[in-house]
Amino acid sequence: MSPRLFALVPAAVAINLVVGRIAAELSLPVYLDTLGTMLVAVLTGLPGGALVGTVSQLFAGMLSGYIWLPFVVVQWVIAVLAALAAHRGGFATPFRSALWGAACGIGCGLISAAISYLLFRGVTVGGVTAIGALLRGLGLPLSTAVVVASLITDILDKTIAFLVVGALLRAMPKRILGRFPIAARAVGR
Amino acid sequence: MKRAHPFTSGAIALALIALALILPAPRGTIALYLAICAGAALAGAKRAIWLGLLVVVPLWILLFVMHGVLGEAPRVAMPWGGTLSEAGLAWTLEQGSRLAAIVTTSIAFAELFDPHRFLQAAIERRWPWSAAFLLVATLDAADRFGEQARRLREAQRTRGLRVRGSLALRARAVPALVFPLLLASLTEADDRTLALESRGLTAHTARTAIDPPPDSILDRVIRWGALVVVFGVAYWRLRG
Amino acid sequence: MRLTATQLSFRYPAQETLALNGVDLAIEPGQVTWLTGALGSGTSTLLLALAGLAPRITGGERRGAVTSDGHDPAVRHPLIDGVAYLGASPGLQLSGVAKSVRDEVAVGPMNLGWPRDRILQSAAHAMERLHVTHLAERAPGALSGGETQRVLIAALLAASPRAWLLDEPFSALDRVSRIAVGTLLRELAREGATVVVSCDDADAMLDVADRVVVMQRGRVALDGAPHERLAGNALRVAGASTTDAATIAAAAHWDPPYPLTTAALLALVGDALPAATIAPVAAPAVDGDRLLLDQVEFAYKGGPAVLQQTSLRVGAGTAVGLFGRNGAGKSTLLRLAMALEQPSAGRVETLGENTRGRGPEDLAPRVGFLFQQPERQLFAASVRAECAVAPTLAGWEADRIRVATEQVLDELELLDVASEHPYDLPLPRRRLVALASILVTDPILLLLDEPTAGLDGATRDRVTAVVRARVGRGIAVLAITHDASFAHEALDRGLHLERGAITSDGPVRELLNGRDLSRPAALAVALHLGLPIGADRRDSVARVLTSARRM
Repeated sequence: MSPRLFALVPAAVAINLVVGRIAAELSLPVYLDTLGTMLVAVLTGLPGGALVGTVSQLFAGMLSGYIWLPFVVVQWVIAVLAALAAHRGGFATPFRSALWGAACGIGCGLISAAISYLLFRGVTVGGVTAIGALLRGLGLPLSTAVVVASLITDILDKTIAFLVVGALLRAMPKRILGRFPIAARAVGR
Repeated sequence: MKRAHPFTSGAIALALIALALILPAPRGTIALYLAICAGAALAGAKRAIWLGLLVVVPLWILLFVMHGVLGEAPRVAMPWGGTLSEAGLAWTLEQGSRLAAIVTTSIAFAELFDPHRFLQAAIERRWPWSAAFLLVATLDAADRFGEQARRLREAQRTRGLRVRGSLALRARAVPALVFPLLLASLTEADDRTLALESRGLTAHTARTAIDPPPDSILDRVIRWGALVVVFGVAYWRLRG
Repeated sequence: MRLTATQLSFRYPAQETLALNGVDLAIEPGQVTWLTGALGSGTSTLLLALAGLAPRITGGERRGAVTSDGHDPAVRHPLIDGVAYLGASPGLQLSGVAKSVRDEVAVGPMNLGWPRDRILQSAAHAMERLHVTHLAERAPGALSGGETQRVLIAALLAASPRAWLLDEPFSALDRVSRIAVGTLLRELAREGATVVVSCDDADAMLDVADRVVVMQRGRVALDGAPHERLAGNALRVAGASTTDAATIAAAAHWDPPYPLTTAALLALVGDALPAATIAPVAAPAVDGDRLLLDQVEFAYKGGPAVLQQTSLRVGAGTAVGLFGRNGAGKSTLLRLAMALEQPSAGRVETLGENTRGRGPEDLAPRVGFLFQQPERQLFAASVRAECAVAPTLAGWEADRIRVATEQVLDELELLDVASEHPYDLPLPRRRLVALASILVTDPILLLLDEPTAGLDGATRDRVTAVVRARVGRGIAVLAITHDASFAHEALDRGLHLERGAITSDGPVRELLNGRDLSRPAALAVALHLGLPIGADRRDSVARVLTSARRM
């Protein structure tokens, strides 16, 4: 592990936790609890991002139970898509950021839904399950309800998250961009 | 529990989680949950029981609604006139108790976890340094950033930022409350890397454990015992 | 350990200008070498290059050669090589993996794999030499800035380094600790270590340094004996600052060699002054209270009482300083004034209105609050945009914002970087940006928490001038500070807090006499000559001294 990750990974995991808490305190309809994973994936590449995601999930386990550990796969999906978006200049404009965010949301939503349905029969923490229950109440079969609920929440959350990351990258100070050469590609330079 | 070797509580937690997944539900898992609560209270982690309930009660409600109320046939009539799914109720009980057991174990383990004792133990046993460091440093970073977020919120409020009101207003507060934290984590990473490097925390060297926690015979017995119990129960389940 | 740089040039990643531009230097063991220079002159970068950390960890390109004992430090690890490096911001240097100060101090030897007994002995010895043994069981995160800095130096000492590369090691220390650490550095040099210190404070290094190297724009501009160089004009010309006493002597247009200490300065000043040189000073007109505390009591949740029956008033056009030890209640007072906290008893009236039921967002933009480390609240992509944040939140129109922004940026000499990203600026200028972002709404009450902490001399003077100018225009100021020079130049009245009660309230210069704060040279001269309050600041004193040198 490079020396820089010794400093970056703990900070990024802390960012995931703290920003998630801020979004909750502001009562926003999004989680915003994966900004750290995304940033490190964009700035240092996939391995760093995946590491941040993994450690984050371990930490989430301390707060709300290790039963949700299988969702670490979702963190990896986020890392992959963020790194991919960075590689393709996906954060060059808000529109592109939103598109890539939606793509990430679809990927996450589908994987989340699969884990949720197969391992937990659709009941996990948070508003996702509530939406799923609502849809179920409207008559949809369980599997469909879980998939739709996951997609709705994840597409919204990841699109906004990618918008935030994109805005930050485009307004980054030169000295940070200089330290992370991949970041320049991410904003299309 | 506080005097036990850090790896012992980890082994017990893993064993309990494994048991929660292997034991027959709901009777086995309910018994396990009650045993875990008793164990947590004895070990000095009573808070974990309440925190666990805080996480798990909403899950019970969701399970009940999703599977009990909205579940498949066959359905069972209820005194108040409605019906509930039979299989759904059974699943609610099964999964509910399983979740309760695992969540409470996780939170109790987190309550009893002493990162510094763990680090000393990891150094002594020559566990990979990066992994041990990351665990402990992340706890420290979470505290630091939490503090920073709190102070940042105050600072932005003194500049006139409002955090209560319409959704649009609250959403507009996000850059002011979030960007400085993101920027700080990136700019400070450089200074911190220099500090960590110069103090030798990033090097691949043989380290000395200054204060390694004692590993008594009881600790080793408990750890092996936990492993034996898990395999025993798994074997019993596979047989019958 | 002998450190050398030969034609050393260095450029940080993605920067056009060279941070180091052809440095030729040889640093010998057994002496304390003092590096100084204006902001951006390359002193911090040189330390990083000598430690082998630039470019290995910082990135960037290096040309020329660096050696430590003949080898290139860039391929070795500082700790293993016996090189101790201390960065400029104490808070970021802590390991994050130590539960107590003792463990923090033992981190270095622990990483070297020393036997347990040797580690404990070395840590105990290091803590003793830095006078932090009483902090041994405390959590490293709970220490004050000064305690953190001493603990970090102890941590470096515990690994028995042969070379010390320290960047602003005195920045958070009070006068007593400064002298103690300075003495320690001299002892270490006598014991054979190579000690290199980058420091902006000439008074702190005066009796510590054996050699001074002044950098200017990335190269060595001056190299010689400290006392000799400080007593002349060369340092000032090269952009570095000299001692307080020498600065006043130079401002009084005396000829060099300048006196270096206050005592030496006083010895050269005549006892009597012609009466005509003392200008009469009008008492400031106080018109209305901007802040009122009436029998206020306060305790944090579940904690002991921090303020008991405290009362104070701050009128328009006055600048009041709050002094006292950590935990005395100074920050709490400021927070109550800004409605960040509510008193449990008594009344707080800010700008004539009770703070009960109100929050800081209600008091902005007419009250300006400067937190410690204010650069941490910056989030805009340019200096100008950052200044626009507060007025935009207050609902000002674009034109009004533009005019106000230009004015403030001009006042703080930030116009040349108005389009830059604040994070691209060096720390002191970033602090000025934070200050600008608060002053732009023209608040009539300023609440400042350590406004000059960690700043270099030139920036400190700018902040002092800005505060003084505002006070002259009728703004009320309440400031917490440990900086005696700022207190003397910018503030009128001083309040001393002890355990939540105000134990003295009078002209600030009475407070500066005989407390743990060091007396600024201007004040010492003013008292010696019997100058009245108001005519005792550096400018007035310099004017008086122009003709007062005893031959």
